[in-house]
Amino acid sequence: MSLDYFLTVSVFSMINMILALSLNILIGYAGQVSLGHAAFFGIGAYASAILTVKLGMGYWPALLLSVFISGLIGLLLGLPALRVREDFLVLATIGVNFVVVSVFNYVKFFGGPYGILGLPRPSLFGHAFTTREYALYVFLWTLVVVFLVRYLSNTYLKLGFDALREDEDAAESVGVSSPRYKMYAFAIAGLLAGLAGNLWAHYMTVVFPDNFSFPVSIGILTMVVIGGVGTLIGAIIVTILPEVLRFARDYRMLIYGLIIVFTMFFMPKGIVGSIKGLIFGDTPLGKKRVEKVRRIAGAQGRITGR
Amino acid sequence: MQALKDVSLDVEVGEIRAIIGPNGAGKTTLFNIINGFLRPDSGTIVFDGKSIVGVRPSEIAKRGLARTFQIVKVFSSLSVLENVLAGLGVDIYPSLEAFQRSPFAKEYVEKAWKIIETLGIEKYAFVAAGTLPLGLQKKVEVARALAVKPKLLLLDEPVSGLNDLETQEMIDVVKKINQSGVTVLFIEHDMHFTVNIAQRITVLDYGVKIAEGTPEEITKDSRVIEAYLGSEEVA
Repeated sequence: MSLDYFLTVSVFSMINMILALSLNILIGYAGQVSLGHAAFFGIGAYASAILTVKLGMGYWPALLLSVFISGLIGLLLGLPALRVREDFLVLATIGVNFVVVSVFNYVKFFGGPYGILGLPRPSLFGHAFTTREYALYVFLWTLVVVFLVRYLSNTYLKLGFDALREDEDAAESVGVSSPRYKMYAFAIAGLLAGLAGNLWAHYMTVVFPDNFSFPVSIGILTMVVIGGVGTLIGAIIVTILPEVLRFARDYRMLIYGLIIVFTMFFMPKGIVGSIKGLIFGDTPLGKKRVEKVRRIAGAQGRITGR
Repeated sequence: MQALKDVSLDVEVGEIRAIIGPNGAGKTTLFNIINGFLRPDSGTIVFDGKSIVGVRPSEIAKRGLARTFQIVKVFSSLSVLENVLAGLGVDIYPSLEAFQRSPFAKEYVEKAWKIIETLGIEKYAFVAAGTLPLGLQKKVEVARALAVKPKLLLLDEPVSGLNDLETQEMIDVVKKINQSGVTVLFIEHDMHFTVNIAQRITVLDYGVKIAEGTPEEITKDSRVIEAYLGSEEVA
């Protein structure tokens, strides 16, 4: 296994991780099932491609702008979620994926089926990143995203998402505005998927419509489902899956399908979620949080324990 | 179809008011209109001196109106504690503080724990709310509603499906809540519960208010007896 291969696999895995974390915010946190996540990924990639190649913008401003654009479009494409729920939302997001890919394919400005070529690698102080440096760069972004998501998991934003996912009416009754929180979820997911798209595009240096087609969305969903909807660690561990399955390229969709069905039937919390349940017992609150709460309530001499 | 017609209701600050009526009388519809899930075709709803017609339910909650549901809607996969913490976020959700504040900060956990103690459900604080029996889920809903710091609390059938012991506990809890200064408006079919705690009762039938008064007056009212049991000759 050459170093180049290893680096490429690592970069793809890390980008997958960002995508899985991003989709997990929508599905696992806010309960908004999206089957068109590759669209947001593609929008980040294409936005950066157009800004750098067609408009001659430098990498760094293009990074900021492409991520911003993805977040904004995520917000706009999230608008259907305000009107439709559950299975209808799934269909609507699939539709969004097909529309976005069609636009890349048939609108000349987006380069058509031959895509956009010649994206620059980022450079610092006049030095363009080598492949190795780029892998490190992607690694740093992945860390940032992991910490960001971890941070958000501990805020009222997350509890608002939880409430929305569990029951929209009950969420409203405690002050969670469902349109506002759906928009938050789509915007954050769009931002993160856009970042993944940017990182991917400038690694490959080319973008084609097919890179963001519906099967890619299924792949991202598979990662989230296997990892365990709503769990951070699951999303991290299984992101290497598309690479592990590379040898079975033609059968990848078949294998994804089997894995999803198997996981749904036997491990509804995902593989990682189920193992965690076996080790730590079935408590919706983490062990650390239970300890913390016991400390706070116990300090007043009022805890009766479980 | 009209579920409610010309219903006029004045709930005084500090009282416990019951709404009763046969199935399909429009009681839950009335609740859904008060807390903003449904918009009335006409008429006004004034809460705390301001009209709340057309205001989002989440905003109505923020102004101090909390509710429970006839068919319980706890946040099933969240722990009981998180259900209550979710209610405490009522002022935080609409602001950017939602991105900063942690529900597990000391101040919120302490407040939540106090409410959990009021309901006597400390034992279940860390359990997923959806796994609890109905009686406890109803208490979780009341706890979550209390966390919203309501001025007015709407309870939709708080004791339906509960046994005698659980019903007695709910009577004590609602009295305690009311004594702490919360106005309570509830829907209930259980007359033992209703007569025990309601100061006044409003009766709906086919979307129309047919009677209003103290429990003694209502239980003797011929129109009410007719609505429930049919005409007097039959009774």
